[in-house]
Amino acid sequence: MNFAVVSRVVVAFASANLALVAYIVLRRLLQHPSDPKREACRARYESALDDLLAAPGESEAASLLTYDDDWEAEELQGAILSRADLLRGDSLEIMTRAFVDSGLFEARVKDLGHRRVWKRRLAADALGRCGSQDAVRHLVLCMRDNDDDVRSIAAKGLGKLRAVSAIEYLVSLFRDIADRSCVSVADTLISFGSEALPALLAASGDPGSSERTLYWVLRCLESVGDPTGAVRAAHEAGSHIAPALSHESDRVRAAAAAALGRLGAPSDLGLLRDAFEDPVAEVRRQAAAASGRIAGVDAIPALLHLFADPDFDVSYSSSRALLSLGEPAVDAAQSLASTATGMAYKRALEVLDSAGRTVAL
Amino acid sequence: MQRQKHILVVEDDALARGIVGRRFARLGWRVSEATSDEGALETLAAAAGDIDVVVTERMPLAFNGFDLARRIRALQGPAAATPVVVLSGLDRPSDIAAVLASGANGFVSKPFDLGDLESEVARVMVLRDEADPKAARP
Repeated sequence: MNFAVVSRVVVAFASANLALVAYIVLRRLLQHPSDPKREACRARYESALDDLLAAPGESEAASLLTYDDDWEAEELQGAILSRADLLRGDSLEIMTRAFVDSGLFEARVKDLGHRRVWKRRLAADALGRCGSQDAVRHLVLCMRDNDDDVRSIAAKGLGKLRAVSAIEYLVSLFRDIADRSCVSVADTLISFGSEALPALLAASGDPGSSERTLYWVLRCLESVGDPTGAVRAAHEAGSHIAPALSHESDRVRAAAAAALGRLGAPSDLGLLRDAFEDPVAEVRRQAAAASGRIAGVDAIPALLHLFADPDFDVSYSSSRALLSLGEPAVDAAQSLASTATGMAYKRALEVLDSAGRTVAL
Repeated sequence: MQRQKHILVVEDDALARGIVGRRFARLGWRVSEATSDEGALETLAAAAGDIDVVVTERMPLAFNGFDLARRIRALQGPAAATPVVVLSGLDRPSDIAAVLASGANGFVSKPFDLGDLESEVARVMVLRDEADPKAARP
């Protein structure tokens, strides 16, 4: 091959690259118009959307919600979603309709299958904020995406859409998603509040639940608690959570004690008996706090027993839990102070001091 | 001729201010806007009792309680009785109680529905007219 041929190939290659770069730059310039043009476009959309919200019956504004270019679609989507974030009820429905009727919903659903991960993330975010219940099934499918962020964003969207139908599915995800995604799923489940309790309780008592599922489900139960008091009144939590109190995993036993403390009935105190003697201090600490919460003054003997626990945190948690039980508990601490020695004696004195009682030494 | 009702929207977020303002303007109200408590108090003082209702969005902790309602109640003259509706993202019963204890008359939780806000504004105005028939405006 002579020199002339080689130089022609090099020049042709360089020209092709130059043309490609010029094409990309030109395309970006055309797709990203100057700020004033974008601002004018955004103002037009915002004005039309605010008109729709001000007078929902008038359809003239809706006819302005069209676009020819991607950047216009971006502006319209931003204007719709920023309003959707602020609104609910009929007003949110107007924004949802604008999102669907303008074709943005369909475009974002299509983007969920895009090879570029940022496109999928943006699409999941938009669908979670648009207010349409039709987005639920698409977001549920997103939970199988191989990108953690897509899954986290989709889980958040399901919570925002109050997708109660997805609760059981969300619980089942704990089995096989990464810990980082478990946090997002747990946050979503917690955001459902008491609506998530039946599915969470069922999973906590399911012998087929994996260690990870149990741990996260119990953490969710602890966070949700029993806002209406219905679970406690029905004595429902104990039977579901009891098996987890004797699970081989330390963190599951600790989480089970904490969850029982938020949802258990006074009669569940006996379920914590083994937890008071658990070899793991964190389990004993959670059991101490839980017993005070669920059993009231009935927990006094168990708490006094834990005053002598060799672990500082367990002993301290017991005295705090006891102090929250009022005068009968302080009386019990006073009796203990007259007979106990060592750590138990010290804790009893602390309780009396905190309660404002003086002790003759 | 029927007097045009007048609403003061106090909101630092232009988006929410615009949505609320435009809705009430479409309903035939005169709309004034303020982006701060000070601006709102100045507008109220200048209007000399001409404002029918104040809609404000406030985070209680950042403003040391629902300060605007309290400061409106401390004004001299008819402006002190202007009904106040608070829009807030905090909607626990204790938050609502704190809003009402500060002197506000109504509460709408965020995210909000414009229809609910309209109803709440109508409700506080009826309450004001019942409490002080002389303040009732045609």
